[in-house]
Amino acid sequence: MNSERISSLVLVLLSVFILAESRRYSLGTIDYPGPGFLPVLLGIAIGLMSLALFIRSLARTHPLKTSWPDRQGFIAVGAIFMGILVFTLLLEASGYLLNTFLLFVMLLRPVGKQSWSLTMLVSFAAVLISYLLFDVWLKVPLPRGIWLQ
Amino acid sequence: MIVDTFSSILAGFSESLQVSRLFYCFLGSFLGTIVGVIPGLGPSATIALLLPITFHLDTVSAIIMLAGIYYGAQYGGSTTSILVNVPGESSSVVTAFDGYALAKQGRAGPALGMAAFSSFIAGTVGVVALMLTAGPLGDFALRFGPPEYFTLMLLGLALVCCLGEKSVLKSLVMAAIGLFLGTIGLETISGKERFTFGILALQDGVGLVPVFMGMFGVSEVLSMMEKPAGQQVIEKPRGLLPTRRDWKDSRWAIARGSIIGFFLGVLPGGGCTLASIAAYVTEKRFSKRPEKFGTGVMEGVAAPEAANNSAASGSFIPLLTLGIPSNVVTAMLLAALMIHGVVPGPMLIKERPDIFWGVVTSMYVGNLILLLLNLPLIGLFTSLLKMPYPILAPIILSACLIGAYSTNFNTGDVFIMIVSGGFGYLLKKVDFDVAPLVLALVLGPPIEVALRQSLMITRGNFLVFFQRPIALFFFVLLLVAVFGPLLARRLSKGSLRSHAPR
Repeated sequence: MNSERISSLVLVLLSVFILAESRRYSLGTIDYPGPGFLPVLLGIAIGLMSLALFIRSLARTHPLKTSWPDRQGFIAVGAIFMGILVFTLLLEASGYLLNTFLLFVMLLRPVGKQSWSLTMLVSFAAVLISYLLFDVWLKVPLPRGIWLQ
Repeated sequence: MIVDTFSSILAGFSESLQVSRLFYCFLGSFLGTIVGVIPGLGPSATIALLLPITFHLDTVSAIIMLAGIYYGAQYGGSTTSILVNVPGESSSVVTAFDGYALAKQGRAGPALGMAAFSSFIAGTVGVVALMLTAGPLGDFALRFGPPEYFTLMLLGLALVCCLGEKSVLKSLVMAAIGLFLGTIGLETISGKERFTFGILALQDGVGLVPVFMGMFGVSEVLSMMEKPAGQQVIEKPRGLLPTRRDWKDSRWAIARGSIIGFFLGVLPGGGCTLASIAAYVTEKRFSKRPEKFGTGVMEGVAAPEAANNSAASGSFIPLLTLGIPSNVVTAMLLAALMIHGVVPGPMLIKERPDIFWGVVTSMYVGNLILLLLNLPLIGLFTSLLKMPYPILAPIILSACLIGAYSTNFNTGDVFIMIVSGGFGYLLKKVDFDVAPLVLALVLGPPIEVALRQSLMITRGNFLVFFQRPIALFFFVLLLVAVFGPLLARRLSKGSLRSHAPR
């Protein structure tokens, strides 16, 4: 119930945002619609529908099924999300091989709770396979990092 | 006309039976089966992952391979359903009811065998039906103008929203958001940049490939990593052939399942999952022993497995004849075609018969390959089930990350993917369906073009959608789909007060 209220309110805010931004694009005329035409229509549609959702969520008495993870799961998901963000931010700096290795290690050991030996084995294998796949076979020019140029 | 079709089919086989094409058909089917076996990884994510790689292939090979992943996954999903009561795909959920029961009786082998055989028969029936109906349907679609396309695409979106498992209103909002996301970027007619906020990566639009990878790859991994995976004990099944009795029990299930599956596959929003459920329920209703369903009756496996495979074949019809995807997978195939510079529509059969007939005939070949693959390789697939998910997760994630980067060699696309992944994860948590958003994203630009063209050629007459009979027909169907169930509930409000949470 709570999550539906919050999400519908967020969506109402989104529709307001869309309508506000769309003012910068001309609506055009009905026989020559401009770039703002469809966005405005959509903004109104999203706004009305999310309002309806919000009102419906107020009337609802029985709880909905939400499946938020427990604390450990939350940390795992958060860590993975941060991990891939950092991977991307540093991709061009430290190269895909190092980043792949670190990503694997992070997902296998701290998050995935596998043994150190398995972690190391799989991570090294992953880097090797990535190198063979992307550099040797497909010849995709991925960033090597500032130290391996 | 029969001779025409026949010669086209032969031409199609000359395309699909080339050695390299056979290889890609095999690769796709094999990958699809593996992906179907592994819970949490689906054909959508896999196709999204492989989209960048298909840049380097020719169009026909690319679509053959991606299509193979799609129907291959229908074969693979049944394996885990039967062996460990964990469906590999949502389209195999009902297979588990009787399939696992049969496994517990020591009859896992024949169950797996029947699943494979009924999948093959139904898949073939579906391909034949596709071959026969595509031509007439394409000819009919030649009468479509922008107003017809506009209402038809809206109808397709509406059906996806209404036939999904989640709340219709929530799905409609998702569709609207997807349409909005489709407006981001450079607008072609006026040259104005919409909603880009100066971000270079958004100039060409949000990008289908990063969003697909994010919503189906990244967000799925995030969901699966919430809890540690458990190990399953599986016995190796022996004796994979169903008995004559099994065949006798199942033959009508296969027949009915094939037909139901095909029609539900053609319907946008229908798809393999709905088809498998509908076929199971129908079979139970027609059965002389409905109370036995769930305890291990062979037709309880044959019906859904037949349905989900013919549904896969059926779902190609809107894509290949009208250029309109009916589900997420065909939406990605549409994206793949667009990447290769092909615009599917009624002219596809005439302009690119190599693509149309090449892909359609490859589906027959693929079904055959899958039948021959599935039975001997059961051992391989069962050992796959034993692999802990934390090993799969980084593989999927790094493939997504590198794949997204390699589309334009730009980290902006990767960020879009990560944001989509986070967004998709949250949406699943608050019980919103992601499929309408993805479909709307793909259909958004064509819908806008159709809308504007309709208004421009009629000089602003927005009643044109009601004045042209075909367009009006689609619009009426749309209203029925969206408001029909609501009206039905209001009319029968006298009876039970409770309704399931939507």
